[in-house]
Amino acid sequence: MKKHFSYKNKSQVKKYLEVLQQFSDSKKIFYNQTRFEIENKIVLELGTRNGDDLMYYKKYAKEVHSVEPDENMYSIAQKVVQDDKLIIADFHTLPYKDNTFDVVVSRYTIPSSPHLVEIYKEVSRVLKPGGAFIFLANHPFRQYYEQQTFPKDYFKKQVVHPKLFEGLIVLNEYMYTLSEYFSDYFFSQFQLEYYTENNDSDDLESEQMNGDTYPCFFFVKARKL
Amino acid sequence: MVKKTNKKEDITQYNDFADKFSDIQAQDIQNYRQRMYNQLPKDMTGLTVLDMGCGYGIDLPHFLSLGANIYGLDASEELIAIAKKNTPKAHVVNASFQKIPFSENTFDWVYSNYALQTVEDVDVVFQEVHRILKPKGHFVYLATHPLRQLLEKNKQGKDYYKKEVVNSVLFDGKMTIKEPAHMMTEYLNNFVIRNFNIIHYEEHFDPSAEKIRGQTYPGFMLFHLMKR
Repeated sequence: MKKHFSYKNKSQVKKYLEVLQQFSDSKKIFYNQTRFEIENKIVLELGTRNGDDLMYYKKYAKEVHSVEPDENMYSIAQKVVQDDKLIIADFHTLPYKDNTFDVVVSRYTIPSSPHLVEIYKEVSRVLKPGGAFIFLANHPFRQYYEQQTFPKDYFKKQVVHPKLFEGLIVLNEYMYTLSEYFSDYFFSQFQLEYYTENNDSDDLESEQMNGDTYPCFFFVKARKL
Repeated sequence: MVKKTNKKEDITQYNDFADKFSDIQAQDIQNYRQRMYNQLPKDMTGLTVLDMGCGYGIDLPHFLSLGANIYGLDASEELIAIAKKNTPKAHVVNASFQKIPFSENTFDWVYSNYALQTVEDVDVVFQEVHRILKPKGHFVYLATHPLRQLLEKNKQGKDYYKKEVVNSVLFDGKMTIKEPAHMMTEYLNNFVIRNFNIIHYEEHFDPSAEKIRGQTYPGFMLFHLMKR
């Protein structure tokens, strides 16, 4: 499996961790939107990354579990978090029983996996009925801009490489269309409660290609039916 | 501030559809029309349906063939005149989408084909459609995709968030129409999310639209909503 974050040296890792620590717009909206939803609840996070978000959830939630597919990121996060509820696992094979969680959260981590359909199935399975699925992901319009092959094709399955810090950090992410996120399966399992889309602060989480301004992320809050 | 929309010149630009392009359209438009028809029940006997933005009435006979009691509405007087002549069995009226001249809980279905994006403030239309629909009534619409409207912004430094009118070039440059650009958040706004269930979403390339720089991007999106 392709690594989400490829790097050549330790300084790149350090820089990437710095990016993740920024109090970006996506963090702001995500924290605001999850704050009351997670209070005294059992929460699952998809993608620990550097553990920043996890530390935030732990302040309010009753219990926070987190899965990180990347071993290196897991080691980095575990140093900070030091919690056995943080484990190495793929989002599409979650090692939890049905109806375990009140809330499932994911910020910028779903496109690191090529298994969106299976992720939805797993999230639906581990969420309690009435539970919240809150996620923020790279906007499909942004991923269209990030395609390196020409002519660009919104519908073509491929990996895109968002560059951070003028190319110092390169990510590997799977392209999804909006219709893949808003599939019939999604609407059969979840009721949409809120949708928004925006840019992230200071271009740190993405480039603006061709000098155009397009949404960097979209945010979804949905309720398990 | 919302500007007054559906001005005379905005409306008349669609009149060309009727006289010049009915034949060219046939093939390309069949592509997306069929996707809309797929959302409809096979038998609509006894159902009251509004075709919002019916134009010269191209979809009206299909609803008659399904047994529906069909109403058509369009902002263009000229197109409504043709629709009346072509489909006398349909009840067609000349009115704006923002002030639909029907009372609440009238329709089982509201259908709208490539028309919603012509309005500057789509939220007003969603509220109107919600008002005239019966509870559990369906709203199926197809509209210009927001990514296409971003790419059609005709200058360097295109800005998704900026309210502006874009030129849509159709049928290999044979026709250009001006329409206000919209963001996805306008279609998935809080009113829609709170008052409708989303049944289905799809998006597709539109062969009748311009293919800017040879790229493939969605030309339209289709939403199937149900009033709660």
